[in-house]
Amino acid sequence: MKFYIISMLLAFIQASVMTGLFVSNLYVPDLVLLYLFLHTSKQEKVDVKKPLISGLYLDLMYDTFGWNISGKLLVSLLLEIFKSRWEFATRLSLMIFYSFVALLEHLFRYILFRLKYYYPFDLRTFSLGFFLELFLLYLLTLFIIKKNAQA
Amino acid sequence: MTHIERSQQDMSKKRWIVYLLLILLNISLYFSNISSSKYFSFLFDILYSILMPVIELKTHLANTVSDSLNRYIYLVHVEKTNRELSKQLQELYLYKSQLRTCETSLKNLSELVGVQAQNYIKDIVFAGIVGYDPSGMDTFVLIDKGKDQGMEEGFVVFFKDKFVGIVDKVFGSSSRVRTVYSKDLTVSSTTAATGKSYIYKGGWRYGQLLYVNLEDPVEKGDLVLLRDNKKIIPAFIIGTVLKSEQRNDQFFKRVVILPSVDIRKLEYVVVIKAKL
Repeated sequence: MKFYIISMLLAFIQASVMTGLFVSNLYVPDLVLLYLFLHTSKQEKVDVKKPLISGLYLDLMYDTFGWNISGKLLVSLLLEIFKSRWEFATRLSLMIFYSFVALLEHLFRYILFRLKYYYPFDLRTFSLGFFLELFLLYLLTLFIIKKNAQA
Repeated sequence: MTHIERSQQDMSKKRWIVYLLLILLNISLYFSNISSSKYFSFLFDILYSILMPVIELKTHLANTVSDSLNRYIYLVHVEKTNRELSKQLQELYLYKSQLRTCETSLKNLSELVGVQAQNYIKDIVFAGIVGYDPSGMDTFVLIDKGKDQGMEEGFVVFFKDKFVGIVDKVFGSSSRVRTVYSKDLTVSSTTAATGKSYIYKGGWRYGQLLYVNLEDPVEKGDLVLLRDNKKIIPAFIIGTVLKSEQRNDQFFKRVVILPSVDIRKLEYVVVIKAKL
């Protein structure tokens, strides 16, 4: 339940504050994806409801039914495939894997969007959003490590 | 491989297939615009009517953040421009002081020699532009100063160091300025290279310099300046020579001028209360 409430709040912040800052929802740092990734990477098996619901929150906010859900499901599928073969032993490996899947997810969503509508791609804004997302992941992993050490 | 491992692999494969099917389903939902389809739109209408306060709050917040960010960027830009402008203003103050010294020296000198010193422009009016030529050829602009501000026909209009035109009609609280793009504008002019007197005739897109002798060294890129025989009005830039060519005429060259001022970028102009 905690996951659904936090992801709902994050979806709201992402759709309001972050979209206001980054103008287009194509370049916004995906806080929901970040949280979903951190949450599900700790679990053995990814619960399919989690990417579905967290993506649904964003789709309801943006009125793009199916767009965010498919992106989140893609990341969960990749995460499950990778986790069945490898382990994220260090923070660096986790960050490398996240940057790979997040880039893939953003690209996937951008292609879907571009097939339906036209919007110019601004590499600078996209990079800014993406690196901010990675920086947030770095901060959160620091926090998680500290919390685990205390435990 | 044990039976348990094999069954685990089958399970995970099944899950991957479920994932793939869900992804494909969501992609098709996205492309089919399910929220506005006639069979399901009522469901989304109900959902959105419940969520409306949240959506409204989200939109309001996004707009507020976006506006604040734009305002911040704008203010930073304004601050930068202000700093640049204050530097330029400081330079202008220096020139003004130097000019004042020159004026005093000239006065003393003219008293000694017994020649009357020239008059300098002191009366200028800042006027906002309220209308442009609807034909798109920029032949005139309307300014917001008229008889009420003491405007008269023939007053010279400029912007920065560029000649804009001449006031050709004065109304109660506005005036019409005939610009350098108008065929009806002819003014005395000169070039920076020759210093000789010519006539500038306006035109769209290009004006012309009339009566340029074949032997006059008027070349492409030369500056064309306003010429006042009484030497009261400064030599504002009219334009630059775009083409200087010999035609069938046995006395004069054909000189095409590109006017320097961009009429549609002007927001205000300065009117000198003096005639050419």
